[in-house]
Amino acid sequence: MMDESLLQEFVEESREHLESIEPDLLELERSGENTSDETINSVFRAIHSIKGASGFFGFENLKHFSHVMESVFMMIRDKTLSPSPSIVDVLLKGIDRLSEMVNDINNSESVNVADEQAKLEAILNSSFDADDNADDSTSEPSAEVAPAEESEFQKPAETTGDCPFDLNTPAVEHSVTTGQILYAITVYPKKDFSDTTPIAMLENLATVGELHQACTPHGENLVIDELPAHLDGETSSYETVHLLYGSVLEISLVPAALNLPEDQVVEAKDFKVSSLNENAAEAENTEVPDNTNNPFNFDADNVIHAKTGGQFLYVLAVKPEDFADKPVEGFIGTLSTVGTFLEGYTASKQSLTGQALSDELNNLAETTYILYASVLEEMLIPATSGLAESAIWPATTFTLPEGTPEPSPQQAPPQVTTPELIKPNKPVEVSTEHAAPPAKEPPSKTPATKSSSSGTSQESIRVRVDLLNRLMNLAGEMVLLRNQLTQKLANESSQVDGLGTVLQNINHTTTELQEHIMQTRMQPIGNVFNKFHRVVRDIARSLEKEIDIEISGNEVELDKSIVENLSDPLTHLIRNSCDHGVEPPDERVKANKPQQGKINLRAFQEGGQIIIAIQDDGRGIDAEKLTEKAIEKGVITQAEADRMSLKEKVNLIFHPGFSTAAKISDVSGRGVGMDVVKTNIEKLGGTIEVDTEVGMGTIIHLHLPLTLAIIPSLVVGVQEHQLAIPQINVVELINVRKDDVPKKIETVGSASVFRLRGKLLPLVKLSDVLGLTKTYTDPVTGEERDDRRLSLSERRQLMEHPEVEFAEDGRMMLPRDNDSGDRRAEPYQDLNIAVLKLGGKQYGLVVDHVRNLEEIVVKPLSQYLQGCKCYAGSTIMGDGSVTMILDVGGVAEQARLDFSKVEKEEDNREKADKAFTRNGSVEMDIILFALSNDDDADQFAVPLQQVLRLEKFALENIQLVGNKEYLTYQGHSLPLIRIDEHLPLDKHSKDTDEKEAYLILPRPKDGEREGQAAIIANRIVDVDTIAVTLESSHMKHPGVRGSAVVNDVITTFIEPEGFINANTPSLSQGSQPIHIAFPG
Amino acid sequence: MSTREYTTFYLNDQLFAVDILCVREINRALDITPVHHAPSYIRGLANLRGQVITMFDLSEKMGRGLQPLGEGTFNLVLKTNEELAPIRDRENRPELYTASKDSISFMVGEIGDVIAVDAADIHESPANHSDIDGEFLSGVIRSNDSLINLINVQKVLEFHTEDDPSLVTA
Repeated sequence: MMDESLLQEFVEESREHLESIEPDLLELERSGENTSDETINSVFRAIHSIKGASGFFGFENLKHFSHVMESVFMMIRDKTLSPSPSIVDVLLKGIDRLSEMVNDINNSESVNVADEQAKLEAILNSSFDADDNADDSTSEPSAEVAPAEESEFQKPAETTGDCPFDLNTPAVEHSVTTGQILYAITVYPKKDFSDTTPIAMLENLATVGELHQACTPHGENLVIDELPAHLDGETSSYETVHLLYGSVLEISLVPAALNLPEDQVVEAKDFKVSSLNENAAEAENTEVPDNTNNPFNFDADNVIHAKTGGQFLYVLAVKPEDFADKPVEGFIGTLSTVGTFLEGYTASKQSLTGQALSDELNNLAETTYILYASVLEEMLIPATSGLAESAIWPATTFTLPEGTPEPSPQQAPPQVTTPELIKPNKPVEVSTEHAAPPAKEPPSKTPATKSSSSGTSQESIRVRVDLLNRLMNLAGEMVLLRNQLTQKLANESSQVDGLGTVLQNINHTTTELQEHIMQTRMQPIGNVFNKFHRVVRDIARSLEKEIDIEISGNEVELDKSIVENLSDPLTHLIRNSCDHGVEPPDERVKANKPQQGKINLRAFQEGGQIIIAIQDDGRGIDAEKLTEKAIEKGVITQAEADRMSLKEKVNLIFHPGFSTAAKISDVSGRGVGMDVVKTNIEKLGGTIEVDTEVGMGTIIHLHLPLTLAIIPSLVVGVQEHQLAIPQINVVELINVRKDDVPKKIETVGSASVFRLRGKLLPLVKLSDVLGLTKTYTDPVTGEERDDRRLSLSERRQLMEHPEVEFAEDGRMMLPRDNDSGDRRAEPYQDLNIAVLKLGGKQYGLVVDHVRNLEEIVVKPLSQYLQGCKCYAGSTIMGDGSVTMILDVGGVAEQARLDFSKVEKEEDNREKADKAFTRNGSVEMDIILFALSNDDDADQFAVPLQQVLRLEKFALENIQLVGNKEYLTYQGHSLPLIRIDEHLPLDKHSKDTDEKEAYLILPRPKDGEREGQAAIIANRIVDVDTIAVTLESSHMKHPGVRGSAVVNDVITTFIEPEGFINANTPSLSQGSQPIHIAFPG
Repeated sequence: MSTREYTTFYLNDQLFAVDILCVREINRALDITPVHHAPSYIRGLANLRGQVITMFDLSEKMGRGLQPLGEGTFNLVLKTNEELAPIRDRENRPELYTASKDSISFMVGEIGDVIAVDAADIHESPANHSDIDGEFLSGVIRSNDSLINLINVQKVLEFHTEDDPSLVTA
């Protein structure tokens, strides 16, 4: 039936209208009666356009529903209704239903809007029972008619008031309450009875409904029994007879049932005075505008039909030269399908209608002005007709241009737009029931027209997305080819004259081409953001909270596919903030917060990525509660929880199927959790981070790439292989000089870690991840790397099993750096570490080379490679080679990176630092040692985290310088400290007859200096995790932090570094001990 | 009886054939980027005029050892299923089936002639003949004294997760 593309146009336009309504509605709610007229009018216009067009396309459900909506907006506009939140609620719901219908336009008839419609009608009725009271089913009929110009029952005849029908009679009311729909039927006695008789028609009417009233075009009531005579073309004295008819039939069925043209049956509420006026005009000629200045006859039947059918009237100027290069038939054909030529006007031939008009058009000899009716909006006319915008006017604003050739005498005045002329035309803009108010109405009340848009036709066209995608792919390939071309010709450019310039131009043009094609896919993030005003409002209302959302960065642009896929995750996050974050008002007041919660949603660009922050000032995430919940749900075990760092605990919200809401609310907490959000964001190549403070609020950061297809990447090398890392994951690049390698690299668990500004950064070797170890010369440890790894983890196991054992050489007990004595001569190499970001976590990827940053076009992975978790895709580099793109998460997975251990270690170190300063019980890992082998020797403890190394050494290796003891250790002289020399103790460690002892080398706090001095321990008692409550010790000495009972023995707790610093003043002055070999 | 055309090629010294309708182009060896953790019969990826193609070692897949790289190796680039679909419909040959999305190139030895064969001359392949798993062959063509093995492209390209070392060892 309908042209599919036209329909598509309608759907897209309606969508735009609906999108524009929502913010206006929210504004309406905020500002209430103070809302600017412009806002209200724009809402009104938007809904009106939908109604008009849907009527034209025959979407009755849509039309009816939008009509009811429109009626409510009309009341708001006329200030007869104040937009309370509950009314806005209903209206918003209504908009939702309209969207639903529009989005699936072909099924729009089956969308059930009864609920919303009833509510809307209740609004209409409660404030005043005006023109819509005859609406479908529920409203009470009334003879009262609104004074507004939209009144559909206005009627020129004074005798019977404004309405031709009395809708207040018991019979009519009964008809309505029994579910009948009231129709106004227009019968033309002279035309409608060619194949039926008035009596047959009336009988027909009686079988499917009830004929209530009849009236003449002048509004005089007719006795129903006399109708046959009035309807008979022979005897009737009337041009038309109007019938008020109640029937259960839907409007689409009535014309068929009665064998009348569709346009002669309208719902009574839609019944237009214009159809009365058509004839009334004859009777009351004095009221009709003076037509002498008007080139067109706006009162012609076809014009009125067009107007009442919801079409817009335009005047088109057609010149013969317009068709110099195209056939006029095409023009006529196109415009005929989407509208009607009503009347032509040429200066010489004057008014032309019907056949004369079409003849004139086909043999265009001079500029002709055509009155044209169409459902198309003004902005669509130029494209449809192929005419210039300047040749098209809305009929309301048309004035015959000055200098029109051979102006006819009575149209001489060029300004034709007299008020009288405008009035009848203006409503053309506003279709159906508001169309064509009688001329006597004050023009000021007519709805604002869209003529304002005439100058702002959009400079845009709609393009299929797949075409854009194809273009983008081609542009990507073009870039690659350009790169290859440039490389290949780099050497030739000096030999061929001008080649260099050409290459440079190609270079620039290609880059620009690519950028612009990318831009075609860029969309402002506001497209997604804007809906959150509504979302937050709705949620806040349903939760009875007060929440304000502040949105900024609407203009930030992202690739279309990213913008589209952001909607769901963002909605989820915003809902979470509203539901779980922001507290109910009373709770907020108690917490000394403003009653109204605040959510801040912003987007901004930072480097090559977009950051979206969602911040609320709510109650924050209680990591401990979260952990409890997780244990309760079996998501993690208690033991796992104990090992978790705070951040990790917070990150539990990303665990699949985990929902913290104590109660499942309407809004969220249905178990579809943050894990989905995380997955979705990661699918977009982005990352998500949560920062929260209990009682203060939560902020969630999303980092997103600008576009999916082309991403800036860091190109790194390992051996002869080259790989790309998406820049969005790269935090920084670190080069560790080989001298610093032993100082800065440690081992925690099975992972190497790098101390980066006080944090521990787990390291992953790219070569290990790729399985390149066979031919790989480890930059840290040389080819023995594999062996060392084994031993490292073995040593780690010692840590995990408190029964302390020692390696054969007695040297190792604690995890150590790579710089133990026998390996100190190893040639360390510089380390290149790319610090990579994975959600809230970071790790360092050790690579051989860092090459450059390059914009790469991501190509999806072959299905055969789907199992290779380390790769996100592949790309073709400038030199034409294929390069794999690393997946930062996959690499961590492949390396089985255990962040929890590292974070736990970090926590422990922090705890140990705090342990001595905090009161109460603190759990910590400690090394228990004694100064002699006697069982009753004094027992000491140092926190494990403060110890860098614990090594056995032969006492005979101690060298004496003056009265100070030194040990040659890793090529340096290491001063040794005996605790008993500084503390008031009975037993002296020197008295031992043992040959061996241990040295405790403290971990330097700033990560820079090490090997200052070591404490001698004669016997290691235990390494254990214990809960300690420190009491002040009787031994007051720097570095002694207190004492506690451990395993029934009073133990003195030493902070090793502090103790050493306090007791080796010479060290802090930086003096170097002198080496003098001294026979042991 | 209809005649069909086949592209023949050597793997080692044995002659194989694939339906010519499946073949997009044949070219000389490309630079291959190896992909670590890939199944052994995926030798890597290569750039074919801006398109990334997956280098598929047919010999390795059929259990006959890795195809040596170098001068003697050719690439038999297959049409994707998408490209093949209209041909499949036109010829009414539902068995013409390649990889779903990927561009695949079979790495093969010397390319032989294109031969036209009557459907009647295609015989069922003997079980486990010449050490080739019969499931990868859709038949044999007798030509003079020798047998030409007809590759069952669909079967060869079928991807099983157990082929994937990273999935097995994980």
